[in-house]
Amino acid sequence: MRESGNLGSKQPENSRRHPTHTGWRHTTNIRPRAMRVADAKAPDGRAVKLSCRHVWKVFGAGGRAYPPDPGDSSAASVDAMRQSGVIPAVVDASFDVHAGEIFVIMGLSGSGKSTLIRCLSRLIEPSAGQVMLDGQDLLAASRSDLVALRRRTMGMVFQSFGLLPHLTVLENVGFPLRMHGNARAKWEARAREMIAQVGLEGREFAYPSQLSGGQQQRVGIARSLAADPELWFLDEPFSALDPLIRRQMQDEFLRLQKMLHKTIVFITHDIAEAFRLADRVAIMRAGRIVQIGRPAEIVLTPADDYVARFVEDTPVLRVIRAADLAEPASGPLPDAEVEADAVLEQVLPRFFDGTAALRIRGEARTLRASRVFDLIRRMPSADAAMAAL
Amino acid sequence: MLPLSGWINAVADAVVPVVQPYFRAVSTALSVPMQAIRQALIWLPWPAAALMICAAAAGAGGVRLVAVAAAAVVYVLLADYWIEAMNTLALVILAVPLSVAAGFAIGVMAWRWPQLGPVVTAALDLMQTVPAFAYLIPLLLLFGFGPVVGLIASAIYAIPPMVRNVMLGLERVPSEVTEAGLMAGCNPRQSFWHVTLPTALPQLLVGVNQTTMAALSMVIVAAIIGGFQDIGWEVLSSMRKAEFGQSILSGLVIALMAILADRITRGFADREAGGAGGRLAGRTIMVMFAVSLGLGFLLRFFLAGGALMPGGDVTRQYVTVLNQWVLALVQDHAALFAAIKNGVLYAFLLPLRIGVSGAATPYLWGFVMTPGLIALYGVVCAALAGWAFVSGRWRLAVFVIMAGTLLFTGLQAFPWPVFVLGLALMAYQSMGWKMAVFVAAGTCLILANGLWAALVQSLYLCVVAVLLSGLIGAALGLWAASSDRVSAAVRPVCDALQTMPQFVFLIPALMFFKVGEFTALIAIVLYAVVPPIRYVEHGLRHVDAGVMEAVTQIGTTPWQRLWHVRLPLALPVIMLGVNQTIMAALSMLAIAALVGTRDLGQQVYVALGKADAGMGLVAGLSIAFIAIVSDRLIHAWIGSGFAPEDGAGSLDGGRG
Amino acid sequence: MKAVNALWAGCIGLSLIAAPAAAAEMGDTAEPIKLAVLEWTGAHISTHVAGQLLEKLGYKVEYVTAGNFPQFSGLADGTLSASVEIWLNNVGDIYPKVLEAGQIQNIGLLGLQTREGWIYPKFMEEVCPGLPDWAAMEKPECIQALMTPETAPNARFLDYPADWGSRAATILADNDMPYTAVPAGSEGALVAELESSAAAKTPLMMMFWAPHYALAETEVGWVTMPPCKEDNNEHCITPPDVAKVVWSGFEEKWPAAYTFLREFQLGADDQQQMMLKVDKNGEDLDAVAADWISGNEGVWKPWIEAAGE
Repeated sequence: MRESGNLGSKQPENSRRHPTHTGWRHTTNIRPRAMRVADAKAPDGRAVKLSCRHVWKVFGAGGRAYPPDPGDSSAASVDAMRQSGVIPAVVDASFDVHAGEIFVIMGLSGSGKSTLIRCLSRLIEPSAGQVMLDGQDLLAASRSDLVALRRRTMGMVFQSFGLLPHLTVLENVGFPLRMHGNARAKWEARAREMIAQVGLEGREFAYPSQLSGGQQQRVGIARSLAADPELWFLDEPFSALDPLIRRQMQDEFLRLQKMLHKTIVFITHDIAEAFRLADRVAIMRAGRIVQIGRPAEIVLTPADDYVARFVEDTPVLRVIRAADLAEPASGPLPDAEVEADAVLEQVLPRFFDGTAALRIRGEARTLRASRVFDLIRRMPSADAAMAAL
Repeated sequence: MLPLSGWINAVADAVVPVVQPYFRAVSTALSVPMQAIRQALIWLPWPAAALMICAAAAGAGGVRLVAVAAAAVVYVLLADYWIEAMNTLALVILAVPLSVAAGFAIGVMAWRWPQLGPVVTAALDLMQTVPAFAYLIPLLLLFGFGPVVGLIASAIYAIPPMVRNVMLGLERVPSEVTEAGLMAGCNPRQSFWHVTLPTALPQLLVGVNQTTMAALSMVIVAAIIGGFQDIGWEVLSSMRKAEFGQSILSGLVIALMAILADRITRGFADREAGGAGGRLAGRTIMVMFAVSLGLGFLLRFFLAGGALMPGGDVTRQYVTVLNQWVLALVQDHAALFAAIKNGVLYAFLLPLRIGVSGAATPYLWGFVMTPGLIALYGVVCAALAGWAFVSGRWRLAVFVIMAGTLLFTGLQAFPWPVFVLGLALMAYQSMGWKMAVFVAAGTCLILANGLWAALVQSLYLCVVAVLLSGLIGAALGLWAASSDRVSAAVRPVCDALQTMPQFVFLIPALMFFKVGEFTALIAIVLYAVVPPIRYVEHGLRHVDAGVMEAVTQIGTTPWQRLWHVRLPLALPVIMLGVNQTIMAALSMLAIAALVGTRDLGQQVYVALGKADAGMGLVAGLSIAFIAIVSDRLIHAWIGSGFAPEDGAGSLDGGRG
Repeated sequence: MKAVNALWAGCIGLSLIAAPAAAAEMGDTAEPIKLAVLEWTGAHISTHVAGQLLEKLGYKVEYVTAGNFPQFSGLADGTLSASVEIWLNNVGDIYPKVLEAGQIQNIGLLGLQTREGWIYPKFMEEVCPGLPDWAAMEKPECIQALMTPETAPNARFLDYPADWGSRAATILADNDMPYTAVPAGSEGALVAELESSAAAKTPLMMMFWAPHYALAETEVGWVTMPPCKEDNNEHCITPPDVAKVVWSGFEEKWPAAYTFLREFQLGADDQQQMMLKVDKNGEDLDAVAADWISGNEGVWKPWIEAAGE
């Protein structure tokens, strides 16, 4: 069993081996510690739950072995593959997901994000690479191990809900437990509990076709959590919903996560959603992960033009949180406190009366007003932002 | 001449005695449940059976369907066809589960092992396009005389729609649903039985519906063998006697059974798909069935059987009136019918069959093609072709030359090498060399078997019938698409045309228009006109509403909208309709043979009469060949980007 | 020997009342004799008369509908026991095959007086003066009246369906007559044309046979046929024979019934009268057959007696 710390030391080696692979432009000016993708531990000391190393998925290869050399992920070799008629959907993806973290994979349609999440649960067999769950190689698991693993440790929510049309809400939610061979009384009780948690009491005996989209996805969420998995995959769960419902479901999702502390991989094509929910975001383009980082890092130091264009219209003040700009206190701690996850938009007015610094609640760190204003001035749309204030 | 049919017979003579015992064993095994069901149904007093039918109707569709069911029961009783209807029902009751089970197994296998797909598809195409008349004799040889032959023939025709729907349904299960099942920890067996299958169930039930209809449509064919006194036998007998009234009377029984079976199975399918309420619960239906059985026992033991049967004297009187009415019509309007017939013959049929060169005689057109006229004709054709070539459309040029030659020589005298070459070229253009080779080999095989004249005659009948059906059907479909009232009026007519045994329409057509190709044409068109009506209406009505709003907003006139937007957008659906029309026309060839044609259908029929298995199969396969080639050509033309909405592949809908 | 005969006479007497006899020569009276019921009314009548008489003899009888050609397959393997009205001019290729193989047995003619030839509705005698002589058919006004677009410049002649064989075409060709034979496709087509022609007075010349119920409704004339070029079935129309055929195992299984069926006869006049009752007056088939039996005891009694000996 490889110590996950080893993985961290491998990263630079890989970069060396593929000179064309530019790596991620790790942004170090704010929180250097958070930038090293392959950290063994999260900032707060949480362990790596799921680790993904050099994962490839090439479609249309037939019997041929693709990629020919998993080590070579240069643009030229990928282009050559496309030329030869195969589709490299995921190209050399590597990242870690920490226990209790919300890891969001963001990309436009066709960027390979849905394929990637399916590789993580082996709904699709990766062409090459390694997926480690709690340090165990998932790709080495036998078919029956996989069934057992899915029953115990994984839950998944789907974009178009994936509900079974012939079963009621209750039966849909209880379905995983039923498949595990639980007695009716047991799965029914658990299903009722989950239905209550997602706020669908009273609709137990409705069929999916009788529910609204939001309600259907609540059923999907309840079902994915019924077996109390540690890993929770969500594949664009809210993309099919109206904006208002989407917002509501995002809040619901955050509320649930506060209670449940799952390890989450969340797929979306909506950058606002990604920034709103994520602890960390991975941005994908044409099968590659182009940047991984906290939302603030991505907004402030986009890895390339593509990401920059993406985040251009993002309201920075709503993405960056107090903790992102906080520094260890150099002097006495101010009395006035601010929540660590408060976004700048909320914090900013408190500096208008001349306050110089705020203390991050419960920490020995402060947020200085000058840092905030510096940041705003450096923003491309600074004028507009200031004007707005 | 290649004696393929002789070879088939030689092989059959050698093989049949060897395998016959096994088939006879199957036959014996099948005849046991067949007899049991027949006896049970005949034993069951009609009030009990009627109650059961109504209960099933109530379960499937509510009050209106119950009313239809009750009316059907009353009709069958009044027409005095109860026993015959029950015998037919016995055949269907056994044929449907057999076909559904076999179809399900084949469909699942083809889905599970996609490499089987091409073989299965080819087999299904043959099963649906070879006329049943062609394999009745081999079946008779193998299974022996009796109703089991009819049962097997029905099953052969009824299995393909089930297979196609099973394959389609399983393929169409959304990947997310399957994935959700896997993520819920299903093992492969659980995944199939608990996730994939239930999700595909609505489509599977569509298959059950189509299978039932196909089995019912084979009742008449099964009756040709005989063996038990069913309603198909009655229709055939009335056809033999040219008793129009009687044939309508018995034909309506089949039509009503088909319509009821359709509505009931479709009702249960909708119910499964989560349709609205207003229906009886499954348990209530079961209770009603039990009550019916109890009632049956009571009636059977406390009343004499004969007392339960109302006589059919009342209806028989109307039958006589109907017969006299038809005769009176013939008597009064003989000139009118002759005029209609001659008009179509002169303008349409003769030029296509014997060409301008053959038709332009003093007898027919009143003038002769002088060398000068022939030269003029040639020059006009050459000029048109030249113009097309110069403007860069070489395909059009080739087409003009072919059509010009065809119109001059007629199909009968059209040189076969040109025909084979042209067809192969067309196949190559749209589907590549494999199809071209298939087409060339197929036509050459038909040629070598001495069926060329019959093939040409079939093509000629089909082309004319498809053109006529297309024109009439498109006009009606267009009208129905623009008016709900017309649509509501047209629908039952379509239902009747499709469910009524075609023999029924042959009799008045014969009386009005005499034996000959025109009558055959009428019979074919009556059946083949339904798909264009339905598909044109469906296609036009289901053009995307957003697009329609957009072009209306632009300020187009209704005519512009129809011509520039709705028709082009509906074209894929309409082309499917054309395909169905061709299939329907081909399936009618064997039946049209009864009014005296000289086509492949007649060959099949002659073979049936002579009990010549080889000849029947060769002619039947030739019909299947035309069907498959035209089906592939049209589908290639529509392109792969279009999936049929009612599903179930390409050849469903065509009935024998 | 005499004693046995006397015993048998007694048995027959009994069987006529209650039919319980189960002597050896009766064979298997428990298993029903399956009689083929073919498509046309004449066959229905012949079969039901024979069937009712067999029941009188003490047998169980089952009527099984069967197609004219498929029936031979059933007769060959015993699925059908007997068929009493087989027109030997219309038996396809399968009949000689199974007959030669010894699977079926021809047990003699039914005695139905038949006729086959060219007919026309009565009014045609005005259109083609000189009918019924065949020479009248060649007169220009006759040709002109019978000409249709499909057959021009020839006249149209309605032939038997193609699967029955087309002797008319051969004979027309033998005599160089300007006629084109159009195959009818089915019996129904022949009848429909005859009826509509008589109703609308549209000219018609066709091949037909008797006894046929259509002839009871429509008055027709029979053409005096041209001389035969060769004296065989292809070139010469002779009245067809109508035979009775049984399954090869029939004699062994039901010896008395076998003897009876060999004796069984039904004349054209009797059959035509019964056909009229069934087809025109809508009377019940079984009742009509029973009527005939009760009215013709002298006719059938000897057959039953023969069966007993």
